[in-house]
Amino acid sequence: MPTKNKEPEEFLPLTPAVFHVLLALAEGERHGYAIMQEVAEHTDGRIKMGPGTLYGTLKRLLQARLIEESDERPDPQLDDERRRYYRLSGVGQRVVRAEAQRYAEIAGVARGKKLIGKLTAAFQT
Amino acid sequence: MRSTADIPGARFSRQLYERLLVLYPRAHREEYGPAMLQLFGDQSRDAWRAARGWGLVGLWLRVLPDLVKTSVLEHLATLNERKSMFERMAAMLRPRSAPSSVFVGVFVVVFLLVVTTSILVTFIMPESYASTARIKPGWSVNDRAGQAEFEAIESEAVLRKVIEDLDLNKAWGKKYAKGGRFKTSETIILLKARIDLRPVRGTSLIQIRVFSDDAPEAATLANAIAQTYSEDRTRSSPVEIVDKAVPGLRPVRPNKPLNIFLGVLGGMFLALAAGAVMAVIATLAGRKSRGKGLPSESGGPPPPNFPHSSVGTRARSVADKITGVLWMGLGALLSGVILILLCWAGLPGFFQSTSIREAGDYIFICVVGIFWGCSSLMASFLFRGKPSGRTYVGLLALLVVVFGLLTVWYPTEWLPGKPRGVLGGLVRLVGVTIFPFPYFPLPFRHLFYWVFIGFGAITVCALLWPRRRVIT
Repeated sequence: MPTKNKEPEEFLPLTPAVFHVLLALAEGERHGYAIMQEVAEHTDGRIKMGPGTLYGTLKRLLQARLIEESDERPDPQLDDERRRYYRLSGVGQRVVRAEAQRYAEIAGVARGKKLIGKLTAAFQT
Repeated sequence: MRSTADIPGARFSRQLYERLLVLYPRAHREEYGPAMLQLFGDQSRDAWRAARGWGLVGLWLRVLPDLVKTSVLEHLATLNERKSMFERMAAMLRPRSAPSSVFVGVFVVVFLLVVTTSILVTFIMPESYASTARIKPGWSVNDRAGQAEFEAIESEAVLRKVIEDLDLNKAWGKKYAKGGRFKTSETIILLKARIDLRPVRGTSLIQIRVFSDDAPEAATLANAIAQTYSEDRTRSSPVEIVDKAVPGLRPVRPNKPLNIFLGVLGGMFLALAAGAVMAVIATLAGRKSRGKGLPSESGGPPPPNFPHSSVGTRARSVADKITGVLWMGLGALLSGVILILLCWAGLPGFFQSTSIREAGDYIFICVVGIFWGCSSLMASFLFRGKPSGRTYVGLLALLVVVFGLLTVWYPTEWLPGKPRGVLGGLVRLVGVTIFPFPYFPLPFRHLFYWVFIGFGAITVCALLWPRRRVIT
């Protein structure tokens, strides 16, 4: 399938599952378990992805070329099992930034209407 | 760090999850199965560490719904990734066949299939004999008091006496309950289902007709009911037994000539419909191929199944609607085959106990099948997004008509006067579903109604489901 340059906005809005996975990969490569842990941590345990949801999401992100598979290697902090690592692609980085920007704009409007308090650092531009 | 293999509970959980991965499509399983299993193993280890056995229980309570939901979504995604049914058929049809030859080919195939099935089924179905006794009561069958007295013929008092005299609890227990013994209340239900009472038109006579798979038994039962009722009413208003029942020489069900005729008629109808649908597809495929080309050939692919949070789409194209119609047809055939197989398995009482008459069995199968097909169509919309309002109204009207037809033959024994029709049918469905039928080893009748109601629930959900994301 030939690669086609797509604007990040064409992928928006993202579903929460997708957005959290991309956020988890924003700081570097992760394997599935690490992504799951990071999502749970970001959401204070509110979102705990099952294997089916996580790998279904990863599959679709790979198909859309928002992420790339890196290599398989063990995680030194866990055990000796080889794990599949994923990272954001160039398009993926632009998409997650665009989505975060969109959230920030919405949050800015909500803050202007005094619906929410101070923004967290993650959403400030 | 302690691995999952070292923790017995976690190890067992992982093994179980590994087996459940078979629910996913093969391609997905081969690609991501090991990684999913690995992740589950990690989660099991964490769950065990947090709360041991209860932690694993909590994990399974989260993982099971995730597994069921995502396996279904993956199967749907796999279907979507392939060419749509329309495109595949169009690809098959386009280079070779003119619409008229497609119509003829499909007509012949479907017609032969339906007729062959109806013939096979007719000769495989268990036979049922009927015997009729006629009585002349001392009251008019046409006035209101007479109607109430009509019911007394198959009242519990009369039937109880018949059961005791013929020792039916033991005889039917031996026949249907693997040598056990029925309670009288159970036998009464079974017996009532085999009785058909009606006035003889133009006379003051009443016909007591009893069905059984054994010809002499049918005659014995009809005579016993007539005799018992006559003795019961001798003092108040004499009843005369005008005609005694005799064993039938030929089975009344299945009505082979009628079934075959209906098979031919139904086959023609289905073959016409199928042929027309396929001809339309061939025509549209021809037009489309002369235009821009099929979406898969035009390049510039949209990301397939990308979890885009768009609002639910409509049943966009002719392809979706035709797919839905084909689902209905498949649903009709499949349900017909299933119900016929149930009959063939020799389950007593199912078709014999309904008041569906000669032609009704076959039509009933098709009607139920159409209902299931409609529900399948609705379920497909559940995942594809809401169709237009007009489509909904049309399908709802069709469902009401289908349901109404379905209940035409069902007398509602729970209501006085055994009314037929939609309301009676609804009451009957709910009542039969929750009323115990202990004389079946498994509640097949319940199973049938539960599936029926289940599809109805899917339909209602599909109708009421709000606009939603296509895939999340």
